[in-house]
Amino acid sequence: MSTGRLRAALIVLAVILQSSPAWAVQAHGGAEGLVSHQIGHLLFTIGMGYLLFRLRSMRTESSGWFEFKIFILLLIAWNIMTFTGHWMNAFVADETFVKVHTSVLSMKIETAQDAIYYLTRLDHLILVPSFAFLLLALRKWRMAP
Amino acid sequence: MTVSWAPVVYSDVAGSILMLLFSCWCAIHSWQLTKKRPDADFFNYLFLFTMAIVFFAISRSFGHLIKYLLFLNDMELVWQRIAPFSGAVNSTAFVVIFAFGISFHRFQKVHMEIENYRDNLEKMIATRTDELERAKNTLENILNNSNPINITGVNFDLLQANEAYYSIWPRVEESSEAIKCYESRPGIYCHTDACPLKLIVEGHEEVVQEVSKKIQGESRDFITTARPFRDVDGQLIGMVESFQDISLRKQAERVLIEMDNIKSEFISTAAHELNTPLSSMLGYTEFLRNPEKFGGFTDEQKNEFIEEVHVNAEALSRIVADLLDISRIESGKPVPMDLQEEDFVAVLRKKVRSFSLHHSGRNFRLDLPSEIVQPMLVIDRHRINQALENLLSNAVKYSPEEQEIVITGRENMAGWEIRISDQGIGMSADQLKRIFEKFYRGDASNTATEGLGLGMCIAKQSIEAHGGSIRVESTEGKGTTVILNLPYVAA
Repeated sequence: MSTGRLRAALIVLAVILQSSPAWAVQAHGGAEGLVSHQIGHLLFTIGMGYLLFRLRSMRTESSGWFEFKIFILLLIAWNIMTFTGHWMNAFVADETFVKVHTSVLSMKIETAQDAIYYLTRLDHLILVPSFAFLLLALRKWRMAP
Repeated sequence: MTVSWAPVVYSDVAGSILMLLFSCWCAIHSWQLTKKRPDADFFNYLFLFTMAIVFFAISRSFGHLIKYLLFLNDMELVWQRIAPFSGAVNSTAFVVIFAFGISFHRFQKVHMEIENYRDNLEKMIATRTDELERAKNTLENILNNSNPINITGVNFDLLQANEAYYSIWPRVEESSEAIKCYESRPGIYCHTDACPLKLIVEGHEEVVQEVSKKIQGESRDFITTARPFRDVDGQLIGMVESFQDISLRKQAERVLIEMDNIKSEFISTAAHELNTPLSSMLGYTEFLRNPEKFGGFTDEQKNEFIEEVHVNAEALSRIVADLLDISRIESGKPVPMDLQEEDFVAVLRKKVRSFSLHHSGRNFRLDLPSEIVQPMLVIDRHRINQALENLLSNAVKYSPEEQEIVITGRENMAGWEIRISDQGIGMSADQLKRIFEKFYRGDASNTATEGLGLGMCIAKQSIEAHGGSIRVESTEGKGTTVILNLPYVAA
């Protein structure tokens, strides 16, 4: 096994073993959980950015590649959005949420961080279109002669 | 400001469901794409990349849906237990996707190399295909525009033939079995020791033969040249046979032989024609030179002899004049004409009367209109006399003595039409076709009539020199009619 592959395997193993209740999606309770998840987002973004950069140097005139590039761009945007959301989560106080038992009914937006956090929670508005573009790209490649 | 949390929940739930649908759809498309091009590494990469993305999307969407289900049932604590695993799975998927992202260039490089290689290969194939196509077209053009050629296998199968070949030997109706050469072009050498293929198989390097074939009723002659046809290893696999059309050469040979015969016949006839008046002249001059040898002659007799010598000299002169005319016609020079306005009817009457006097045993009938409007024509009197004489003497020669010879003259808008009809032996279609050929004497051996075979030719040239025309109608055994038209003014 090459050094690169070994390194990648160790990273994956470390991420799995370090899981704790603090890594919940809603509230990445512990700092270590949040950081690991955020690093995941960063890697995701870097990987997609690199892919997009490579795609620019490739002959991609044939159909499907434009949609694929849009998909990558939206994925990068989504990563940035969720990364920001996770980050802002740390600054949003529990009192900001109006709850009935465990259900959140509304949110009191008092700071800029609150507003950014609220917007980043609507991340599916970017993620769903990005997958639609991936589907379009795959469909075009499949239909191509 | 307080904002509702419902949009977040709805977008999460609806987005998760849509993500699940899109993910499944993407997975299916990706799988089909790989199936379509299983040899393309780049598509395999795309498949794995898509699978990683799909895995991330599914795990995330399930995570969201499960979370809301648990929240709905007041099971937040359960979610707090599960959430770390969900987050870990997502983080793992991120790392895998990152790995795919940064390894893209490797696949890209291989892909580009393969693409370049494929492009170059396709270009090379296209160039080579084009070259081969052009070479094939050139060869086909050469083959189809050359002499008939065919290739025959050692088992007598007709392997290949060009279009020219099939213009001579039509295509045999196609069947599942190969056509044999003797079926395609049956000939006198088939199944004999002279079969060219047999000779080639026996070791001959070239077999040349002559064959004849009737094509559309016309006899055609060919020289066939057969040579061995070998494969790349030099193994004899058949013969290549080409056909050279020598029909024209054969025809020229036949014409040459015929010309030679005509020449011999002409020399014999000319000698006879010249000799007859010469012998007569020699006889009479001998009488006049040594009359005492023959017991003496009276003055009247001597005058008769001199007259006979004159008549024979005139006959000789006519023969020589005919020969000179023919020589002039042969060399392409125009027939010399001395055109004068003449009373054509008087010329015709005089000629018929003269013939009646000279051929006292023959019955000539001149049929002219009772009222003649325009008897004057611009003609060369000598030439017209010569033509009428030739036509009348032919009528005399080729019809029995007791039969009438009718000369009919009629005026028309353009000039005069003269018909000279006899009830003689007539002519066959072949004789009729050749009637105006020089030195041609229709069935000279049977009729045994005198003449050089120049009369009709000279008559035609004379009439046409006047701008007129001449034609002949004849029925074998019933008689012949010569119809000539003379315009009022020679053209």
